[in-house]
Order: sequence, then structure tokens, then C-alpha cells
Amino acid sequence: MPATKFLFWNIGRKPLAPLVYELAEIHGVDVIILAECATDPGAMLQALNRTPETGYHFPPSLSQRTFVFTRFSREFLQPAFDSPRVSIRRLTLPARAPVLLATVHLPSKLHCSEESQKFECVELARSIEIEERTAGHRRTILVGDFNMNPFETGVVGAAGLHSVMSRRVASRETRTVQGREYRFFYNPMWSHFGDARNDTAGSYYYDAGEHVNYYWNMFDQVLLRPEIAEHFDPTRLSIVTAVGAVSLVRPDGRPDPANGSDHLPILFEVEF
Amino acid sequence: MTAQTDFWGEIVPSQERTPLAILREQAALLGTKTKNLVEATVDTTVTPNAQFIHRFILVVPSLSNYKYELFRIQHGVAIYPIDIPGPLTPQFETELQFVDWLHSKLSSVETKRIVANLLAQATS
Repeated sequence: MPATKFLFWNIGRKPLAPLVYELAEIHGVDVIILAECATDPGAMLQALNRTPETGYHFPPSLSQRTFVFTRFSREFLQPAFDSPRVSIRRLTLPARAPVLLATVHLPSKLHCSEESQKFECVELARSIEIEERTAGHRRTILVGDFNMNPFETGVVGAAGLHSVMSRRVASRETRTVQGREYRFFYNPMWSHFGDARNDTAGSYYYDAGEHVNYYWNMFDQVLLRPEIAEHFDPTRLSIVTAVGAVSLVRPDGRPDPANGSDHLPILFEVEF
Repeated sequence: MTAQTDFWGEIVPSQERTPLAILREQAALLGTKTKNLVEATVDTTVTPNAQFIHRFILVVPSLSNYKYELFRIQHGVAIYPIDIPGPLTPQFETELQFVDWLHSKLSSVETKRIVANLLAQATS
């Protein structure tokens, strides 16, 4: 089954087009999703298509929070649902199973209470369910900056995104709570918490200066429905800490906004 | 009972290159020349009187998917003649005539000016 490579990066409104180009080029990325992209899409296209071999397209959407650039023709990525913070598109490649690609940049904790974030997740889950019903399948990839950790109620709760850390659990497809059935997502980002690999223990670092402080957060996530997670290899997902010779992290492993963004990119491959 | 006779004979698709295929080929070439800032697409509709209308459209994805119809052609099921709807309504009886016209249209000063203007807006 052919694999498609995705890159998500919240570039923090910084002029990182050359770095995005390098990253996409080095890893042969098929679909680039950017959040907080202050660079005009036209200027980003020019940067991405610096060499004639690349050929990224910009399939537009009404959602201005995430920009998607793809090596595939625009016709293969059609809009299904758009709201200011959520864009759901149908990715239909020749001779491949169609998938839904949902890209999000959910409200920040700076402007939104934890309770409101939960309700946003409930609304997002509902929008996805509607589009899955319309599309007639549940091969959904949900990616973006959730401004929530994988363990937070909105991301875990059954009426929210209902995402779990185990493919085996997610493969049950649904769970019934109080007589209502809820569909699972698989969240592979759990495996990227902590410093077992290196000093970069998440995708975003924040020293909150209050009683509860995680320091490292995993706001940047990809969630997969079980139908697509069964062909997903978790080792093909990484938090990117360098682009060629340019380090995106400081010596202590934290994101280095001097070179990149305060968020680190995530790179993953999905077979469908 | 006697076997039914097949009056249809063998049916094979016409070997002729269709105007739609020719237009699509040219549409696909524009993006590579503009770093996909200005792309072209062909939109096909069928009229109630069985005429095919192919609209050659320039698209600027980064300008909220701005669309500009560069021209349209029209033909019936016989493919040729091809009409260009408009005040002058030129007509092409053969593929060669159509391709010559298309070449001059796409490489014309007017078309280049339009694409250049769209490119400038896409990057400004």
C-alpha cells in the first residue's frame, strides 16, 4: 500500500518559508500543513516551488488558520467543511482509497478556558462524524495544533475526540458510554512524550510558573481513525528537531525560536 | 428461436485527439511555468441542445481561488466543427486549425498580459 508523507508545523507567524522548503525537500513531503502562517500563500508557493521538480499546489480553503500545500493536483484535495479553525477536505488520489484530511488550529489556552476547549473538541468530533457520513467512509486523518495535550479531557473524552494511545484499543472502533456509541481515534503522539529518545520531550515547551506545570506539551498532534491506523507504523512519525544543518532546538532540547518556531514540526507517513 | 443479430458491429473509441484532451494538456502546462501560482483548468458542461462547452479557466489559488475564463469553445457530438462563441464566432473544421488557433491564443500578447497581471497579484 503506498505511503503518503505529511508535515505539520505551527511556524509561529515567522518567515520560515525557506526552512519549510528544505524540510519538505529533504523528507519528500507530499502534504504540508502550516498553522500560524503569516507568509502569504503565494509567497509560500514561490518558496516551495523554488526548483521545477517540486511542484506544490495550494488548494484553498475558507479556513485561514491552517494552510495546506500539496504535491498532488488541487483537484485531488476538495473542500468538505470549513470553519475559521477547522478545515475538512476529501483527499482522493487515483487508485487509492479516499481519505478525509481534517486540519485544525484550536483556540489557545491564553484565550480559552479548559472547559471551552472541551466543547470545541465536541463540536469538532461532531463535524468530523457528519463529513464521514457524507463521504461514506471513516478513513480520517486529523492533524494540527490542538492547544491541548493528548491526555486532556477534550482529546480523550468519549464525546470529544475520544483518542487513545493504543491501536489495539482503538481497533475496537467504538465504545458505548451511557447507552451512546462513540468512535475512537488513535493518538500516536503519546509515544513521543518524555526524554527517552533525547532532551526534546514534546512538541512545545512552556514554563507556566504555577503549581501544575508540565513544561513539555504535545499540542501538535495527529489522530487517526482505526480504519487508517491499522496501516500506520508509529515509527514513521517523528518530532523534527533539525532541518539539514539547522537545529530547531537549543542544546537543552527546547524549541529554538531563533532558528525556527516555538513549536516543533511533526512528520508522519500514512498508508492508504 | 433464432439468435439475435448484432446490428452494432464492433465499437472502438475514436482515435482523434479530442479538443478537451488538447485543452487539458495545455492547462496542465501553465502551473509549471508559474510555480503553480496561476493554474489553468477546463470546465465542461453540456447544453440542452447537446452541445459540449469547454471553458478554459485561469485559477489563482492564493487569491481566494480567483477564476478568470480565458475563452470557451463549443462543439457537438461530431467534435468538429468547433465554434468559439462570441461576436466573431470563428469555426474550426479540423484539429490542425483548432490547434493553430489555440497556439496563437495562448501565446498572444493579451493572454500573456492577463497571466502576468494575475502572477503579480498572486505574489504581492
